[in-house]
Amino acid sequence: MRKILKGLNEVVGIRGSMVISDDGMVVASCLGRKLDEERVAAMASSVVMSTRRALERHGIRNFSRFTLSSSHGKMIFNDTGIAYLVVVMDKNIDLGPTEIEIESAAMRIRAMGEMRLSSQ
Amino acid sequence: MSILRKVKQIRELGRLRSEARTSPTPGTIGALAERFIALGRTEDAHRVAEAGLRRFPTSERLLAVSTFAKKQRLTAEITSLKREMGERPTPAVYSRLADIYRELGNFEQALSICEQCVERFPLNENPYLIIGEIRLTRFLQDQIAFDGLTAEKQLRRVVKLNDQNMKAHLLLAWLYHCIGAAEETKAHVQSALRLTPENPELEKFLRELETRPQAFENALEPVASEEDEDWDPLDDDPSIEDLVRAVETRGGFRNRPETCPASRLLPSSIGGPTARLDVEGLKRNLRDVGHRPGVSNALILDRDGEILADCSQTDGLTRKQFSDLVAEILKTSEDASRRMDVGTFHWCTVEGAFGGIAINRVKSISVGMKFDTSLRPDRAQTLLDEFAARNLTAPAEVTRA
Repeated sequence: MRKILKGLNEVVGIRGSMVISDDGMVVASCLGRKLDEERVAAMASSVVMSTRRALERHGIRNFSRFTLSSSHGKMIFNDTGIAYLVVVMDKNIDLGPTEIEIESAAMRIRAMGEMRLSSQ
Repeated sequence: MSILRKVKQIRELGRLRSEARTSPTPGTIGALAERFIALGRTEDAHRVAEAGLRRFPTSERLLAVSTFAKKQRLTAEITSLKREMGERPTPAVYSRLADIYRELGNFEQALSICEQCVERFPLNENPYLIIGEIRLTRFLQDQIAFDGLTAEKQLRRVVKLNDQNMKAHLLLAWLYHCIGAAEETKAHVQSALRLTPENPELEKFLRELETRPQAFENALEPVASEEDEDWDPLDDDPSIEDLVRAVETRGGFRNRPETCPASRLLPSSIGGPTARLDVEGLKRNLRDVGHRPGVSNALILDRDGEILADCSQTDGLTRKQFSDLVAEILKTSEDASRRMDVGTFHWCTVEGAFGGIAINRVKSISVGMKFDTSLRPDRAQTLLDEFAARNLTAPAEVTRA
């Protein structure tokens, strides 16, 4: 899984990526020098859980992707089915092509999870 | 190039210019700037994009075009400076490279270069000055306490290393003035005047600070905390840290940034006055968004989460349900932005089997929309972008329903 994240991080403008479980535990992480793993994990877990709770309260099942843009950076939280892929990016990144890379990484992570389940 | 092709290009450019002039939106201005880039006219592209950004400061499309055009211009210099950094690193090389990245809006890279310079040349004031300036710019734009506190720390380091640094004194005076630290403001204005004795603007400002300090104050009242109704962080001799944190809590400065002469003596980007709203106009125009195929809810919230305008279809959530949902997602997004030190929240999209929810924020106003799977999320975001650009960035007379 770390290899997938490392490959993803080579995309221009991606500062780091991480996979967290449904309950907020870090499964794998590959973050740039300036990103603190604990801080990113805490933030990601909070976003995923708060958003899921808010949606459920209003009768909406779950989200597949949450994209957030701020004045100095962007973040994407992508549901891979077994966990959430969290990607932190530069502000100026063009989301279109990057989303394809992120979706591809998410699919590979999902496939890993399905393989593990079928081998148990 | 054939004459026919050239004529086609000129016609196309003319059409895009006319569209951008008669119906200025991030889309039409962006299209014109992108055409200039395709034609290799990067200076024109940069000029058009910058003009567009003055009108639509949060447009990502215009920002991307402007940054691309600037980068084209500065690529050769970046390459040369990086080579010099490897061969003959000096503080001047680091500073120039950091300055370029700052000009390109790549604050993270600029800060990283400065940190490398600090490691190699810890007694050189320039990297601390650049870090302080970047953090102060962000504090003025986003009002996040961490930026203000870091700016203060770095700029104080500059004056400790070199008390003759006029720029650092002016920046500190600006920071202290915005947060309401009058004595500290006066001290640094006096230091700046010692370095440039005949500066009428600074002299006038100092006189006003001494005789009429309340002349600069904005209309914001102190906001009490949730725990204690009577709490005011600005009572009882607050520290600088208290004053900086009060800016974030209150969502505004004690004194308006533009009232400090530093805002004119130094190049910087200060957010303009908040767009004033025509609420009836907003309601009318929101209906256009809310009645689009695929959209079930649309609303506008003010800073306090009150509904300014709303358009809910029968197959959507109720008005209350949707405003609660938008408020919760907004709070989550703002918290995440603050914790990750990525500035203020601009927009978000939540996608799922239900379709999606898109939220944009312009200054203190939030626009939210719920849509089904027939509308693409990027298209939904563009709709909100264009709505915000048309209705929330052009000044108009305030009438609040």
